[in-house]
Amino acid sequence: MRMLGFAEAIDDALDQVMATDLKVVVFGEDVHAPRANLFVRFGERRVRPALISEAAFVGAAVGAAMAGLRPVVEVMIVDFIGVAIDALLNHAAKLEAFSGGKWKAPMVVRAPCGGGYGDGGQHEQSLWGWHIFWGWLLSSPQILPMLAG
Amino acid sequence: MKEMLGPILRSLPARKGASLGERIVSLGRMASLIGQTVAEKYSRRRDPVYRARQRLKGEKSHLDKIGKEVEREIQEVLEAALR
Repeated sequence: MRMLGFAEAIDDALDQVMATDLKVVVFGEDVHAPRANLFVRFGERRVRPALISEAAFVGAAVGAAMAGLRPVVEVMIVDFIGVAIDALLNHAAKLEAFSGGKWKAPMVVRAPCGGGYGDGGQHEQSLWGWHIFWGWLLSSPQILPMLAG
Repeated sequence: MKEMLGPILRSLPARKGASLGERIVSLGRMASLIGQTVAEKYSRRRDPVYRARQRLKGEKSHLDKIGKEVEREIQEVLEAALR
């Protein structure tokens, strides 16, 4: 069995799924820096760095998911999801019900949660419970196989 | 940096993925990003203290005066914080 750290496991899982499924794209603020290897392998069309606007790139990912892609949105820290709550709560989560099942927005939003490293009250909250929207599967992996799987 | 380099170099020839041209463009962008970061970190031209010192090179007394003022302000802040 391979031994991987958290960051490596996430990277490895994305690498594998992107190689097998051409619909998987990664969105995120400057995401090409932490995912440099994916950026080189899959190019800018599939690893899309965004400006500092979670509302914009999470919203773009919702649209991409509706259009048939499978976006993985990387939000730098969970606290910033608050900025994108309209796209997630009012659009992605409700779309299927609103359209009578005609539209869906299947996507993954990943964000580091918690902290304890002294980044302040707006940058290291533990907002697990905050994100249990209707239609969302919330996963807080404690072990690596869950994280990669 | 070392941790990044291995995965990046392995990604370049990996099977499946973008065309070679796209990979080279992406690699170029990464190299440019790394270069900018390193330049910003080590360039003294972006350091406001260095720039102020350079500008006031010919006015040593003025520079000394500012230096003393800054030291005094820092000392005051420190004392206030430790009070």
